[in-house]
Amino acid sequence: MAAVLTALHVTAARAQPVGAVPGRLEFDAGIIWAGAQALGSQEANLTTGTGSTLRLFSSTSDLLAAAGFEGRVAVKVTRTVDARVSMSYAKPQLRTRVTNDLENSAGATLSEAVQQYLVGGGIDWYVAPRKSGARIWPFVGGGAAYLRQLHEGATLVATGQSYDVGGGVKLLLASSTRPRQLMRAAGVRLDAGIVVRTKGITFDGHRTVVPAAAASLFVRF
Amino acid sequence: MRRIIATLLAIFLTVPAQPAFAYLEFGTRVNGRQVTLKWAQTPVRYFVNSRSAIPGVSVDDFQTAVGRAFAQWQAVPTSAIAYQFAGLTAGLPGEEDGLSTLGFRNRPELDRVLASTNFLVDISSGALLESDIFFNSSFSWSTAPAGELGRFDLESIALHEIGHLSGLGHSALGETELREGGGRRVLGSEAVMFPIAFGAGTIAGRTLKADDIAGISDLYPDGDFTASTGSISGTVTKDGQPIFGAHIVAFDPATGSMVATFSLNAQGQFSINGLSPGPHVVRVEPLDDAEIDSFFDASLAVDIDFKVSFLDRLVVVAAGGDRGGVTANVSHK
Repeated sequence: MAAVLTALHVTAARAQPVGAVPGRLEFDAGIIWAGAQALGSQEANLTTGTGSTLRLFSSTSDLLAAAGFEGRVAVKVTRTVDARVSMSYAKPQLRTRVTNDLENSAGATLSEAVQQYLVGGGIDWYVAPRKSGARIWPFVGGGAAYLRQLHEGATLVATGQSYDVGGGVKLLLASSTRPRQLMRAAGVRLDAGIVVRTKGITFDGHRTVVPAAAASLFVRF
Repeated sequence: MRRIIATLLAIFLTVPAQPAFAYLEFGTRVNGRQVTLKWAQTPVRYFVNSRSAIPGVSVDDFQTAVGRAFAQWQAVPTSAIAYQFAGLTAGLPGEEDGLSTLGFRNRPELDRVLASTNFLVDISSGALLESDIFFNSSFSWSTAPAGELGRFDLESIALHEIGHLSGLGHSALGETELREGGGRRVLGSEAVMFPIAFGAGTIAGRTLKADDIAGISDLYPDGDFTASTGSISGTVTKDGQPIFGAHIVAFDPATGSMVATFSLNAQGQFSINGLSPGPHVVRVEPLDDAEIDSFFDASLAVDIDFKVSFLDRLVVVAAGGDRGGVTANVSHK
């Protein structure tokens, strides 16, 4: 990536036609982060002689926030819209905290590592037409992905869907309009938004909403 | 055919059977190997003693109440066990007559025994041949839908005893406190097969729990039980040495269900079958909420000198698989 930026730097200030998007194809790689997902609480209850419950201990479970890697390929659909496909990998911890034990006040925090894969697609819409010489491209976008989560040891798989909405900016670090220049632009993409997950690892069957962010480097051809 | 009768005194008394190396099941040794006691053929035909009437409970009441209890075990969708009411008999429970008979017997000398199950076992195969249940008529009984103050619920106690009749031993999934003057009071339990009954007047013991369902399904698996559930196996150690008789509970944090077993040999090994797929919390506790001889032969050395502890990680159970090699280390009290 550094070599790409250096090669394009000399042409970065060159004028572009108004509205012209440098390149039709974008490759993007970077890091992602998703916030913690609460999985709910459960009590380990015993039944009493009156039919009520006696708590043996309590448990609260979360899929912890985690960073991971993401790769995207985007294609320019219109002057202001890119369609993208993406794949990401992260390894969040599934954590269960045990408290209020009837016989052991110490409690415990237990965890396992989950391997999480997302494969999907989406749309990015540039909210302001990219103007000649523009260095910042704000956008909003949304997408859907297939969610595959493997418990520790890959012995058990949970699948579901993931939907994301959000926005961000692309910071153009270098661009070129030379006819024979293969790479047309390069820069940094910053995203923030929310992710709605259905199914996958969920203890109560409910949809969950978590914040998400990403930072990546892109090149356009 | 060589036969023995092994008497299993249920509810308050001991279970003098060798535990099988498996779930909470009875076992015996056949030709040097451990065999689980179970019925070789179903439906299990049972009879009701024709004189099983006491004040407040007619023969019809008795038959209807035990019928509901049998039906509940039979309704477990993942178990193939089935029972059939075969009629009334003049034979008494406890008589070796080839009939599995349920009925009342007046045993005032057994002042802490509500009911008892005994077996006739083919010791060449471990197959159950006959199993009788007597309910001690020196106590007051009820078959009222909502229970009756001061009377023990026949259906609840029958549900427990039918678990024994089917081959299940006691579960330690419960908490008790000592009574002044002796005995224990149940604070709560999560298994019909807990060895101590709730007090008179309650019907809280009429419903099978996850532990009971896992046990009967493991003994008589049906449908996709084996493929759709998994197991956790491993050892319990203290100071690096295996311990016998530790109570291990697998808790599903997604559903709240609990299934339990013991470390059942000198190597401290355990295996909990019938678990729902997913991560589980594993809790290890000493066997200190009931008399040890309710579970094991009194001659066996059960270690209860350790603190309740949790395995330091979640244990993931896969459908149809065994999560083996789990080692739970416990420490002295």
